[in-house]
Amino acid sequence: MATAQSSTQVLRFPALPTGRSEKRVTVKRALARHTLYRLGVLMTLFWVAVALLAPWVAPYSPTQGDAALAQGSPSLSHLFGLDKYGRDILTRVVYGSRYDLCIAVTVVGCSLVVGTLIGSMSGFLGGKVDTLIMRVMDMLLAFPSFVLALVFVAVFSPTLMTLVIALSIRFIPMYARLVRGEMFVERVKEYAVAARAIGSAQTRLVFRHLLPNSLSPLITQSTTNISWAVLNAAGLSFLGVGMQPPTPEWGVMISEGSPFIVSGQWWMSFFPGAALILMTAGFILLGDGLSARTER
Amino acid sequence: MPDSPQGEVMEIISYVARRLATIIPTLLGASMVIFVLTMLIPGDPALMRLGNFATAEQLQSLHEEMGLTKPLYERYMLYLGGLLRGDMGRSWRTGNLVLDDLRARLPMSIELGVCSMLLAIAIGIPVGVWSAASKDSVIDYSGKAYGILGVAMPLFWGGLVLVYVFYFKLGIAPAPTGRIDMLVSPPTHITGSYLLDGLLTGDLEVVMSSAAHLVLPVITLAFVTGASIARMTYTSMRKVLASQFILVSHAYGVSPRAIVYKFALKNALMPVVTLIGLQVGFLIGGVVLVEVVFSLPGIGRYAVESLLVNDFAPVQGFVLLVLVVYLLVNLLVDLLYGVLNPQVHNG
Amino acid sequence: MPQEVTRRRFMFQTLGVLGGATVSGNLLPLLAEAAKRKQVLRVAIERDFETLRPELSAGDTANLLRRLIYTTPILWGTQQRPDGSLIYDMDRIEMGLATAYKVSEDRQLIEFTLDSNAKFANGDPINAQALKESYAWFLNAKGSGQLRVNGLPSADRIEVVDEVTVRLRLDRPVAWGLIGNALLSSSSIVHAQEIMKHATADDPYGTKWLETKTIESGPFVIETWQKGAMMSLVPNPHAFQPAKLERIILQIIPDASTRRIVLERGDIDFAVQIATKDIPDLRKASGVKVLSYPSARGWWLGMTWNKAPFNNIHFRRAMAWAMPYETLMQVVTHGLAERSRSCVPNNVSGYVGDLWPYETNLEKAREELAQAQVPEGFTVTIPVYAGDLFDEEATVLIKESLAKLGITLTLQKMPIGQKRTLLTKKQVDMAVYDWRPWVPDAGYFIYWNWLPDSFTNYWNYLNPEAQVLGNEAITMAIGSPERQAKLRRFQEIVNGDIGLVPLFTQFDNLVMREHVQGYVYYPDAIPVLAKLSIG
Repeated sequence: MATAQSSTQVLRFPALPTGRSEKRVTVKRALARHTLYRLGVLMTLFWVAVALLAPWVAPYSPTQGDAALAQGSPSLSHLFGLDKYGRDILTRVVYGSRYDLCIAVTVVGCSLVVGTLIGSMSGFLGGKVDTLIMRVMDMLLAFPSFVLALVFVAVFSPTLMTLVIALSIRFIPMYARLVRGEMFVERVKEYAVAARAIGSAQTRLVFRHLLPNSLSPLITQSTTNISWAVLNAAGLSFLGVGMQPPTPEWGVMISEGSPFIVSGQWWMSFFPGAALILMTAGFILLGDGLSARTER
Repeated sequence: MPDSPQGEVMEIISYVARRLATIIPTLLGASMVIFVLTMLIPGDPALMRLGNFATAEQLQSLHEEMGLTKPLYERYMLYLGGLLRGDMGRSWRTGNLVLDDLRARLPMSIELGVCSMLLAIAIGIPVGVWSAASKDSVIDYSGKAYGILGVAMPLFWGGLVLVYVFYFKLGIAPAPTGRIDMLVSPPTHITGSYLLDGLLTGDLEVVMSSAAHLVLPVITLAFVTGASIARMTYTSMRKVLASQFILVSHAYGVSPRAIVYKFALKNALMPVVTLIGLQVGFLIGGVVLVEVVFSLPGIGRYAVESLLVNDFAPVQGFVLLVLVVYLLVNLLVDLLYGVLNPQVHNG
Repeated sequence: MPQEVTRRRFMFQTLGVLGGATVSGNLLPLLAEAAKRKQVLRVAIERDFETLRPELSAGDTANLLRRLIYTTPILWGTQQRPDGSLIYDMDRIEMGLATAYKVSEDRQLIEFTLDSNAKFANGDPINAQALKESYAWFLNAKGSGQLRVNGLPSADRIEVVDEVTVRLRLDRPVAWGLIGNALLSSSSIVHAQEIMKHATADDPYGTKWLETKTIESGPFVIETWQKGAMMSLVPNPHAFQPAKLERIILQIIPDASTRRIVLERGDIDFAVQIATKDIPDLRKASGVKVLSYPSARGWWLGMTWNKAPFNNIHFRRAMAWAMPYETLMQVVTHGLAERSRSCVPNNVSGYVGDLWPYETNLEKAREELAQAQVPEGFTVTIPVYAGDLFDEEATVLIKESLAKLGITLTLQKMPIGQKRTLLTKKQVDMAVYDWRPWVPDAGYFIYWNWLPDSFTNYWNYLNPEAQVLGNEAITMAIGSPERQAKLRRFQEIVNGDIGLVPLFTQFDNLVMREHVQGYVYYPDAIPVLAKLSIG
């Protein structure tokens, strides 16, 4: 009964009666889910490829501009238009993928790993340990992320490294808390109680069983955080303390281009913003697909 | 686990009391961390105040006046002593006590944060539930698209675009010049929230004007926050809908709608409630850029502007305030855990 | 809220303007139109005022308030430009609080005769004694090195001759003695007696009280002040000159883009700190007028003299050849600047523009660089004011230029206090630097920037001959031929040493609605709102 159910139960479950034949719906859903996941993989790979191949893909220089063409609108020779220094925006978007992929992956990766470790231990062990860890996490989490990042960046100068650390610190408690919440739920579930009853080692229980079942919201949160990491960097740039010009990082480009919205030069902030959305979409679709696969 | 209702209430009360008690050490720890961090920031606040025409002796006298010549630990002790008396120090940028400044600005931030969160919940949860329940349909995809768009959009960009379209081009929205129109006097101060105070004093004009000025910033914030709530709701619902418990209910003939709304939702909401708890603090203290674009005098802007000119007392006060708000909200969230899922033992 | 406005508002509502219109905000601009005709000036400022203390001069916005609530004995005279706009007249003084003044031959004695009707906002007279007390308060509060700078080091040099006559005896014949001591907003008149009533043991000069409260001497008094949001002012009933405006509203709108569109739509009458890139568009916008004035706010590239290779003349010459002068003016200032060619800014008395032979020439830059023994892959870190677009954009363009020479610049944006601290501690190797003299005189500029103990001599420039010339020029009459000769020689020396690489001197652009009349441009570029009127 278990196997038969686990492979088809998700597909066969009609949330709302649709009136179509079940078989067609099944196939359609299978394809759709698979397609979206595949799309996510493709998009992510696309950005990785763009980042790696930037010097060969980009038509112009990302930092040398032609002042005579400054603020030019999109045209055939400059598909995404030009920024205030006369630099080609398409080129800068392409090069920007390097920085933002790096920021996204590093920040989320670090905080995910560290946060999950902390949270799972805390949630599983409970009691005083849990209370202490959670208080520290609360303190970190409550620290207004902006202020924390600003302070960090002001104390240590604003390099890519500092930025990544400042942003990571902010996300760690998010994961810790999520995992802990999931731990609370999972550890009282039948299988966990059963496993403990038969004497399963605790670590093994946590990492092999409880954790994978808690993964779903973690993955969701991670993919959300990827864009937050970049957006926080953009916000810091808006205030002037993010990545340093003339780095072609999307956040910097969005914040440099924002004052031009009111003067009608929409392309300066639109294209890096669109790139960010596309990269986020790729990660989210990928994550959702992974998340679905971990559902038992 | 006590069986009697009185016993349960007692347990809840003692839980709350314990949690409240732990706020104090958290605050102490945080105050030390932020104090040390801000002191590490390079830059001379006295120079900031004096501007381009400073002379050396002016600088010296201002250093003394601002207490900058004392050693670090002494300044921390003074600060801590002040805190225990309820004195968060003085901002030289505004000339006021930090406590007064925060008190003046907090209601506005809460007004903005609460309205945005309410709208975000009103958008996010239904979108998430509906998408999860209508898997792989147009609704599902739209919900997903909204989730992606909302999460990836920069707040200040969104705000500027809304202002440009609805105020500048279409003239529908009021001028982003602050909480209320320039020629309308603010209401008598009761709570500090213009909406509430206007309602309480029956000043319709104030209510209309402040509501109008809140529309665009709230939409901006709710759009983004709602998206992450929608996404979390979606994922959580999907997981719950696929669980065995649901399947068994379905097999027993419980109607799909009942399944979705009565059973699945309650269980699926746990991580969503966590997320909301995390977000509320952000919406109150972290939306500096929205406050900048719409000229709203909130606590986030207050803290950041102070930080950027090396005026640190406000930053220290701000951090403590946001911490308190956050801890209280999350206490509520943890209590809600108990309500949503009675299986969970608190602590 | 004045009665008439309330009634008018009620009238509009009962005329059946829909609640929807109210919510949508369409009603309120209508009222604003009505208010406009009633001489209410709505100004968008970018940040709040920190204090009402006149001796802390942090920025143009703070000074805008000083000119509103405090007065000075004299003001700049006004002349008209060909296009009809008004500008200060260097040769004429306009009477303010003082009805007459006299300056002795040796320029060390200045005498004022005050208006006998002059009063503070609370009715107390501004007589000679009050004036002396005001100056004395300034000097004793140790807050103002300004007056010392202008030749007035102590209160005993101020003499009360009679009820309305005051004499100032300067310690040296400073070239800008009159202006410095009586016209600049640093000589704002405060009600010293009132302030001292609030003095305590810890606070011997009552400065804590003065942070948020004051007794105004100027044309306007503060009506309400909602910190962080807005301030409204109404005319001072005891001002010696009636103001044309009935009310001034200073609204804090921190974002520059927002300020622009609010002005364009007419919800604001006057906006400060509009981004330069918006100026050409606003010129064409209907209902908006832009007044551009050549200013004395110069921008330079500064380099330290404390270490190699920056103190090597060949390196400095290479920098002079390498600057992209035309591109800078085009991209950074959008053409709203003039080329500067000296170590003092344009538009000051004594500026000489023919002592700078350098234009953009990368070949020559390379030649000079070769002689400077700069190591391969040389890197410099330049601090940049976060939030200052001119600083950032100029540095980015310079970085591009120097990259072609093999020099790598690393930008480091930082909050304003940080960069200023680094500069003051003389820890900056190279940076873009700007300074505006409040008196349009090269000698004034030299005093503040070029002498060994000048506070803003961040680069540690030392040249004995120049120092002597500079000191001499400070105490000679503005405009005299010998002084001009000395200033010329001074610039020759410093430019030869390449003390600073002049990039450009910007224009000041004032943006307001067309119906705002009477704007007069002062050399310190502080908008004098008191003279404005609607119509």
